[in-house]
Amino acid sequence: MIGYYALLALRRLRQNAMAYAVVALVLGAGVGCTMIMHSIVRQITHDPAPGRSGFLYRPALDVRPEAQRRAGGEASGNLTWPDARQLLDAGRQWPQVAMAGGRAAIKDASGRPFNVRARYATDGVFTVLGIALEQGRGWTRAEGEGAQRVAVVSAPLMARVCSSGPCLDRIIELDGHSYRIIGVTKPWHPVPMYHADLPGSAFAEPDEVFLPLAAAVADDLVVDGSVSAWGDGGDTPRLGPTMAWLQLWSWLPTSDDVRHYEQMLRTHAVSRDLPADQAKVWKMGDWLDLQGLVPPDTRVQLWLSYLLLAVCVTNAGALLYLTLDRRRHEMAIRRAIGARRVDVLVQLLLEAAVAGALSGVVAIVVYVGGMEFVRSSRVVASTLTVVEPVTAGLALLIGVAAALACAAVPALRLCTRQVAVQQIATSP
Amino acid sequence: MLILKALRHYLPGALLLTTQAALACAVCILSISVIRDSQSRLGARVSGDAERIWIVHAADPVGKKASPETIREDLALLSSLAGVQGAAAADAIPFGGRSRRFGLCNSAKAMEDAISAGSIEVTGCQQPPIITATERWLPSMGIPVMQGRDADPTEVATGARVILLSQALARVLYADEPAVGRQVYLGPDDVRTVIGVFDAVAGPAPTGSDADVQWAIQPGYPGGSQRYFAMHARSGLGRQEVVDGAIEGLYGLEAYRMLDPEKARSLAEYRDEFLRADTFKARLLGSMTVLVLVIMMVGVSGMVGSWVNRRRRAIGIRRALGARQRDILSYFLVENLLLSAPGALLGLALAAAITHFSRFEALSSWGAGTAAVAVSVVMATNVLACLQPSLRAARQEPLELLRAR
Repeated sequence: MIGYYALLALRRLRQNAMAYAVVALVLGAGVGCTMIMHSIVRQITHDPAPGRSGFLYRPALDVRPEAQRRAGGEASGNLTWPDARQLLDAGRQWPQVAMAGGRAAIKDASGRPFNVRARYATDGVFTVLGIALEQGRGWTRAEGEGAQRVAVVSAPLMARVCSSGPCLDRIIELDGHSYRIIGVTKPWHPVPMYHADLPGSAFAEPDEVFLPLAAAVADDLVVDGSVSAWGDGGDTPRLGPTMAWLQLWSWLPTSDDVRHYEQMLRTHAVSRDLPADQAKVWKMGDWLDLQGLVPPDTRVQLWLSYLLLAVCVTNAGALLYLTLDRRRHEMAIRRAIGARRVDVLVQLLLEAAVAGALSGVVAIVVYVGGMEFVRSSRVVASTLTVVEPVTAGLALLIGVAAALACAAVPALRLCTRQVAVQQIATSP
Repeated sequence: MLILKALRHYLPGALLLTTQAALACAVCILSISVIRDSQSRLGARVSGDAERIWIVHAADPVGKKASPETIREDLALLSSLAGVQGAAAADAIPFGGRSRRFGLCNSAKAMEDAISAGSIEVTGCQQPPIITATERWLPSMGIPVMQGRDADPTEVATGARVILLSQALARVLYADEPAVGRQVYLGPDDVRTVIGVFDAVAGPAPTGSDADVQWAIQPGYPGGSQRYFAMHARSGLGRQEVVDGAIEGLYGLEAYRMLDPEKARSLAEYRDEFLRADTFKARLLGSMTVLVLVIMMVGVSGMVGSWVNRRRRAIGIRRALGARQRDILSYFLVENLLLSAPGALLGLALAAAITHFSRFEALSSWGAGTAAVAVSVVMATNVLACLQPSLRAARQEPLELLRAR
């Protein structure tokens, strides 16, 4: 029976092609536009480390001096080197990493200098963040603490600086300092860059070279990101207790670990005379929420796209209402010759579903085209304009659901009319 | 009254028309609000000849800061390139996004007031961006000197205590009095003489306020580890002819520095890049609003067309009893206005609610003017959409209408 109704629906669709085409276009345009904004916001807020985000924690302390705290403003959550050092030592039983982002000049194969995005970190960086290596190895704790000039490069950087021959054990010059390449990472680019200094670096390009933190400090390499320093003027030493510039991440597999770590963090805060209530271990997802990564403009556009969708659904509803209303006569005859109410309802809803599927296709076209347009306009980071199959599927689903919802009221009205014969007699 | 009675029979359709007028009105108001917010930045004025001014950005690696001699050599090379009429260097450029702001005051007393108040926000003081630039920077950037003169090479080389102000900054500091020859205080002991006033074009990072055109130039060699070279090229020369030659030449002089080809472009391109997000936003929301209005027209036209069809007999009877074409037309138009006007007002309330609860800054700039424009646009679109089916009904002969099944 359903097959017969589907056939009937297709035939009817052909007869009312114009009306259904308009419904599909109106609904498709609305759903497509909404999906573009939805997809961008989804990519801004989606989990950058699936499978790992539940165990990654960001210990944060308000290390600012009393006067600055009183003056108000949010603490960045960044740590000073002595704080990070003590937390790394006290929490030896958990994998941890302290790091900062930076940049350094390097020469390409033709000898011309260019800047690379660097990450200065302690030895846990690869295990804690889950960065897989394609060749070689990361540095050991001894190498890291001994400020050995070793480097792990990303695959694209390897292609740029080692165009001839193997890269491992090659010496590269970073801002004039020699580093030996000991490893090459597999492609790794979380979006947003949760581990970096947020929100500024959230949608930056991926890190290109990883260096031991102590070596980068010894060579005075440039640090990018927020660095807050205080004190009595003059040069603030980067390793001193008056400069907050490091991000700390810990891998805490169980809730007991989280509790114990938090306890340790509070004890540390008290010993440093810092407010213990500001000492907190943030789960990665909560930390990202706290940073408010979705720009206000994008939120406004998302809201406006919802309004656009509402206009489109209202109009599609009106058009479907008119199209179905014109068929009172036909439905009355069907009822009179024995069709049950449910038969009429199923037939009408199937027609609407086909129109909905068409609108879903239009929505997918609008979504894919729109994402391409946004990408070519270069107004948001290219990492956020990836066409997602899930969203395309969602567009199709919403198209069908919206068409069904729009058709439900007029279809119910048509099939619940009382006396079919009278309707035939009186219908205009 | 007649209309209201008739509408009782078409309640679902009537509700739909009101709802979409409300939604369309809300979309219009919010879009206009955001577009106006970005438009204020898009209106920033750039110097003339922006397509002929080419910028090359150079950065020094750590520990190898360029000396004034190196910058001189660079400028000599750039000026000698074929088609280049003049070259200069500065630490920032209009629409470059990067700028350093300094507090400056128009008198010693204002400076004292600022120091004792602990804030630059006192009468007679401002905090404009100040660009450090070599001589000939203004002509290289296509910015005319309106009063006084440009800095000379000796002033640049010696870091003489002179300054050039934009016309807008000069007016803020000295009202209508001539600024050339006056003293500007950058600190209690840092007093500079104004030697020139230049055209008030937008400065390094325009935000859409009056302050965009208030900035100053202090003659000198750009400090820091990076600088922008500006070249004023003959018209008709393309990027390849000017920029590629400049980059190759600069590398030839000092191979260690970083010249980012991405940052080598015309001043017009710098402006477009700086305003890219605003341009995109205005276009996106503009087309979204047009889409909403078109879709609303389709819906209104369909709905009114269907009502006309169903009321053909009634219209026929009214026409037979003496109603004129004008009466029928105005009947449908008034009916439409009766439905869309409350809808538009509802939309106003919806937009106000969204503005209130969302607390987005870009949405907060709409007032009675924007609301009036949005309501008028929505009502006009509604009337336009129902004009065609209403005219069709009004123009038909009464007999033809009465014969309708």
